[in-house]
Amino acid sequence: MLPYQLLVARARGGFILPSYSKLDDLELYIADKMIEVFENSIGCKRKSLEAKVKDVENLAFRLGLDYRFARGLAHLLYKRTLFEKPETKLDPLRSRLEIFKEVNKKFGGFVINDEERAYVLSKVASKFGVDTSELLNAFMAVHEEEHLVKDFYGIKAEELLKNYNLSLTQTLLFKSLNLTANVKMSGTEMKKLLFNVKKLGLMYMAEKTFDGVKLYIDGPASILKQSERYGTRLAKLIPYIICAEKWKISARILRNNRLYRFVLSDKFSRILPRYKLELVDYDSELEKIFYRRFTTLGSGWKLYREPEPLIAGRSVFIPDFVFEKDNVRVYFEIVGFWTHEYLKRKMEKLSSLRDLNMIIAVNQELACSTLMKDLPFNIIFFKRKLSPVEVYRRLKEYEKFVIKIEEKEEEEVPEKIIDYVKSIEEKKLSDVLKDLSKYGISEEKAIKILEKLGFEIDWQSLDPSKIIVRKKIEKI
Amino acid sequence: MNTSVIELVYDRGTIVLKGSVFAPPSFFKWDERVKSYRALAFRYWETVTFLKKWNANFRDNVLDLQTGKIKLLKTIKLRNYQKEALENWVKAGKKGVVVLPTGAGKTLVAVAAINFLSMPSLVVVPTLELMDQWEKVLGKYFSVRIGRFGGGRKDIEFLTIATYDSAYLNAEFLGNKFMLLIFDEVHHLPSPGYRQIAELNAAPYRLGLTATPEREDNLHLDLRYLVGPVVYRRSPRELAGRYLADFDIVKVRVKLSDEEREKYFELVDKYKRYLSSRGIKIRSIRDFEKLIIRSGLDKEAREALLAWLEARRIAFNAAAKIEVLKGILAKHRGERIIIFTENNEIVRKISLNFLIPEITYKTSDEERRLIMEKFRKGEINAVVTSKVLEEGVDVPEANVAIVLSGTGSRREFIQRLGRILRPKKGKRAVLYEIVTAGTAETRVSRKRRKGVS
Repeated sequence: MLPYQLLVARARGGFILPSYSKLDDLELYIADKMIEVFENSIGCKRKSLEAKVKDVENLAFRLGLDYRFARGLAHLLYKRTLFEKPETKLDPLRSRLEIFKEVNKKFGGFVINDEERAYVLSKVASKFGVDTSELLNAFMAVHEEEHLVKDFYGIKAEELLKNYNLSLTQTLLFKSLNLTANVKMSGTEMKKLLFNVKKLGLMYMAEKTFDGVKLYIDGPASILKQSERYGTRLAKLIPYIICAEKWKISARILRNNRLYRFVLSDKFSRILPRYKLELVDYDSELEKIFYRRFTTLGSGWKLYREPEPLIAGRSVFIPDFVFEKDNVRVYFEIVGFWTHEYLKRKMEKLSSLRDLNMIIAVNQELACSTLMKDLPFNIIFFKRKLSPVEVYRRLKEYEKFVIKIEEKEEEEVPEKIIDYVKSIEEKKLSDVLKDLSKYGISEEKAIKILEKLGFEIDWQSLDPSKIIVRKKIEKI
Repeated sequence: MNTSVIELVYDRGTIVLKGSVFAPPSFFKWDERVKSYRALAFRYWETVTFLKKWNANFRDNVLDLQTGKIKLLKTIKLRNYQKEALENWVKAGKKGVVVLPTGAGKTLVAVAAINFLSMPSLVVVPTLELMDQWEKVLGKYFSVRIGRFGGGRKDIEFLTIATYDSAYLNAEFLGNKFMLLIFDEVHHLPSPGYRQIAELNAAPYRLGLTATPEREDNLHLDLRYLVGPVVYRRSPRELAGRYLADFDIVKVRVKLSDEEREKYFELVDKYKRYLSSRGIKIRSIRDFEKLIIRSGLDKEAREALLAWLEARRIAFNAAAKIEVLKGILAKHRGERIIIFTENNEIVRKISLNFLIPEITYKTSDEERRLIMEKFRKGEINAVVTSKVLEEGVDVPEANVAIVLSGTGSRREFIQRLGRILRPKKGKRAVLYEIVTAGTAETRVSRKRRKGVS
């Protein structure tokens, strides 16, 4: 993140977008120069580093770049730099206090000419047994610009520019009122994101979208008063969003007393840093042991941790596991030891997830395990150890269910319909549909039958009267 | 009459009405996220009053107060006007702003207010320096644990002192732990960020202290709902002579050297030429900000701006000023002196040349405390500072202030002046203002003085 005055952004037609680095050659050149200055300054005083940084800033400006761009890069590099106080024979603070003491004792608060000054310095220096230049070194050592560059954590120019772009985004968001994120991400990523939402004292509402989740994020007071209070916190969420497979953010930004909309999506991934998030730790030892034991069981079911997020009411629910066999997915949640408040929330979430295959394992020793019975799911009660065999037994119920669905699809087509369809050489789809409807066949089913019997449908138009159905020609 | 139980709870700077069946006051809004009504925390007392009025059966779980007990160590002796200020504040429902000049003892009014209520209180101050001072004063009067919140510390006690910055950042956390809020230098509070300290806090009682509540952006009007109305007001003139040291203002004009003068006008011309070539007129800070934005990519704009900055630097920091400073210092040797300058570079120069301790925002906490302590004890007579000591800092018996350069802010000037207004027997305080003649700075000085004359 950058100081707000280093934010470079363009506003147009109600929209605002930071002036991102495109990672072009000129920008890479300046980034390289800037990194070089820092690398070569190890062991030098801060003020000499600052002077060289200014030179690069001026160079960048002469080459037609915004001076805030170069200054922004420098800002990020200063954060990768370690400074230390110069070593002095005398303790800086002690020598300062001693000098001030002498000045006040002898001259009532200040020295007014060179003689007085020299008198004080040599008196204090001799008291410490050093020469005056050593004393003055100590006197100055408290000041930041006299500090030495101890170390610098290097970075490649391209990476620096990507970090700069991320920082611009975050800095713009300092003044945001809220943030909407459309994401398609793994359960692990979502868990990290939502953990941070909570940790930062923010709130969210979730909605299901066709291929992911839409999160609307702001703070408790946002519904009462739109303010930038949560802006800095919203900015901190960005790294957890841009790691998603697919993402798009949208925010309302207050700048110069006007509201703008800011939109960014994974189309910009090329110029943004890429974060890899590690799998979060198991919530409990119980889960860990269960995972190990079940995977060695040879059940034919695949077991995955933290599946994609589910939407329960207005919030996100991420089950502990998902079992997978062919196209069937069964979610699995282990309810171990937790607080009453936690269980209440979990119950609320679970009860709004009716239409899912879900097995829940509940520790019998839990006070409210009776409450869990009311849930519309397959419930396993266990004591201390959770048996993988028992879970497998329950899973088998779903295996049967799977086969049933497949049988249904294999439903037989009446003879006369097959005869009719086979008589077609080439016909308009609209006519075929009309003919088949006489046999009580729906449009959807009709198309399935056509495809099954080896007909080609040329989907070039959405108008059935323009679509032609013809027999597939076997290629040799 | 209402049998269903309503619960009023605190949630991160807001209050939430759970299980409400009737329509709450209009400042509550329905929050779909928690399926309850929600309001900003400062509406707490109003809400309780409302619920009681309707005989509602409700559980109040908002406050999570610091426990403790205040024991008075020392009698609080109030001057007449301090007594009046306290009485007015109590009469106004223990909500309001007291306006007294610096040096008139605002802190003591607050001490009396804390003692009057004897409830957990939070004092919000602008600087760490003021935090030190409040801690000292509160420790002098009360035997109770005092917490520091800010500057790397996060201790919450029965009496807690926080900086505006940390109180803003942690408003949600602080919002239900106190009954009384005291805002020192309350004119800071109405800014868009800081006001949330008051809005996100449930404390029913509030006291604001300042010498000058007015703000150029008129946001001080919001103090009415954030803290309360102005319940008492006295100007420096009303108290001067009797309670406050009388003071003189001496304006010293210095001339630029021929060389500086030439350079100065060259730079000013360059700046003006640019403005007129683009038809730009600078009428407000806004216009100037636009120029700054323009300078991001426009080379000429940047050069014009740099010329303006350099001209300003020459005017504010003319070499002759250092000479004049020398002369003034010579006249006041052994007296209590504070030198103000806006520029950190000049602070450094004066400190190094005259061997005077400097206090800037970069000075370490340890050194700042040691220096200020020694200054108070009289072991150090002179201090040079940039912005840090600008406000309300208690520097007893300093009688000479030297403003070496400064901005056009009226408040800044009054407050600096306030530094030397500490009552001292048989002594007139002096404020020197060193201004460069014939430059833009004279205009700045005129604007600055409007505040006192």
